[in-house]
Amino acid sequence: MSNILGIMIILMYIFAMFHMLGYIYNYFFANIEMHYGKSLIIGVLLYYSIFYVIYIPIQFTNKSLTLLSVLWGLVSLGVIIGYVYLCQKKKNQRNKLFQSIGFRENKYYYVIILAIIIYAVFYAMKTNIYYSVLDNSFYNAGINNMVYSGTLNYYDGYIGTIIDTSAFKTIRLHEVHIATISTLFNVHPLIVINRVMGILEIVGNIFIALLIFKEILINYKKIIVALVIYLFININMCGSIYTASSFLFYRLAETKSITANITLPLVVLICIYIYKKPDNKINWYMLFVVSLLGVAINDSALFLLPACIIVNLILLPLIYKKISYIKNIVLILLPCIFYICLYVGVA
Amino acid sequence: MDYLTGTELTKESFYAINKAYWSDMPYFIIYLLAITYMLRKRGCEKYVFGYNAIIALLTVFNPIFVIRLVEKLGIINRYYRFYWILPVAIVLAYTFTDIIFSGKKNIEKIIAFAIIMIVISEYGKGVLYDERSNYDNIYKISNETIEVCHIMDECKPEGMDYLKIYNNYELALEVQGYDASLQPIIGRYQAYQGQPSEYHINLANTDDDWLLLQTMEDKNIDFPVERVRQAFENYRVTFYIRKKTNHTDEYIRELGYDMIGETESYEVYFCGYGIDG
Repeated sequence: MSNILGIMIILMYIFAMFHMLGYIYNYFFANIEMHYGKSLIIGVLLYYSIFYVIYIPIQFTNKSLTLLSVLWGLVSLGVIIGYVYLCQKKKNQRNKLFQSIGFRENKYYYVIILAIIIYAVFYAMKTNIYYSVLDNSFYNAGINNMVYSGTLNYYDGYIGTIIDTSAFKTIRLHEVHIATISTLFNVHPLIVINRVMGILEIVGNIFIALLIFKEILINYKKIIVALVIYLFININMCGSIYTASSFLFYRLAETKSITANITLPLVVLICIYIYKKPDNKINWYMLFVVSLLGVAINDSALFLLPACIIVNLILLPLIYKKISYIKNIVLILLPCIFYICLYVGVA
Repeated sequence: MDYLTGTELTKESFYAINKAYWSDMPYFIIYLLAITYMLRKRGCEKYVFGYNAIIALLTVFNPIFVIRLVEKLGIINRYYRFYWILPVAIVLAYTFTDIIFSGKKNIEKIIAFAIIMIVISEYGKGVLYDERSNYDNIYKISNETIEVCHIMDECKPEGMDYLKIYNNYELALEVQGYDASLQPIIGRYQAYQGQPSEYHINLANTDDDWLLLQTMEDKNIDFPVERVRQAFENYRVTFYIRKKTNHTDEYIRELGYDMIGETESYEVYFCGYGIDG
């Protein structure tokens, strides 16, 4: 497959999966029409949750990457068939793209947002991989080895040997997902990492910022201005400790980059949802899934996610004077606590 | 940055980490001012961006608390990542936007917007104009890595799933990232090492082949030829990629391997070990 065509097809496939899963969730579970941004985020979380459920047994029974790719292909097919069936069944209630993202007033603002995203994507695609001799190539080599061998075996660059899956107990959700997509579409893993996932990460980061601004600014002109400033700060403050934009633009789609630029902003966004509607269960479920998937993507999330969740939600029970929220927070932290126990060797 | 590779966090190393990023401090001060601005708000942003930042500063960024925690978890070299939990860029963008829209006339808003953008770009790290780039290939890796891989690919014996290669750390694992059948016997570790010392030179006497090889190319030390050839054979190295600035030509001739190709910075030698299956 041509590389550019491959990139376009994979991008469309992943976006379509997010969209369709969000739609399917809305069809079965949403009582009221959900705005498209939230629906898409639920689609993302469902996508990775389903992949997680399929991937974990494959890793711990030492099965091949090929099997995982076939299963994932079948799941994708099932989602597409399900989506088409539901669309046919309920034509009139279909979500329209960007119908209720918050810019009903002026359709030209979609164009501005699109221009902002395209600029960010081109900027990232142009920049070099700053740390290529260190981390990037280490992870990329591991993923390429998985694809080449058709297994989940990992190449350890420290000692120069392949480590068997059965001996490698760490969950590598993001890396195995890249390897699966690469196998499924027969595209070189470096293209999937540095182009497809890089683009998705940048678009995802800006999209999350957009949704955050939408929640707190409301006025669409303010949202656009805030988004431009946000991007300008990120681009200009690459290399600062106070932003993770060096990871966003230079270390594309690395696991820690995903943690810094997708997982943690997503926690902030969901916390805003929770502060606005603390009794809406879907917000709590979303945060639980983020907590579960976040620690499966990157080890740094082991301490960053609990810190972020606690810091953001600790005032909630006090503000609403409802002690039961503490129980929710503890439940959300369970995956992190479980992984931390494994990490420090207590369990 | 040796303190970043240690495993113990002390008060000294904690302050050293923060001092390393001291030049960004004005940016952080602006963030603190933005937080105080957030505290005056009535919506949920007051809690998510205002009070929560204060809680974070008292806990996660409190030296007394965090030194013990980081010590327990052994994450000294990852401590700086705690700053990611502060949504600094979002808070600043929000605050600046509010300031811009506090102007009554459009011209006031435009001037405020322009001033803010100029301040950010002047104070920023200038990455916007960064020209380090332009690997003109779709893989987004060094063109030279791809060239080196193609040289080895042409001489690769048929039927071999994996071949061991020995290369300079600057190529690191990019080679295997591009072509997984080429396995560097050493990779990431060397990048964290310092200048060559007497310890490294004395490694000529070591029995540890891996230590010898990772030091040889990384520190540019000409170890005894027989010892190096033995290490290559033990590790079944098929290709040796020499950085042209490393070792003398005479030393490389003494090693006795055939050069099969070269790029601008590298020469590729065929050692031939490990191809008999």
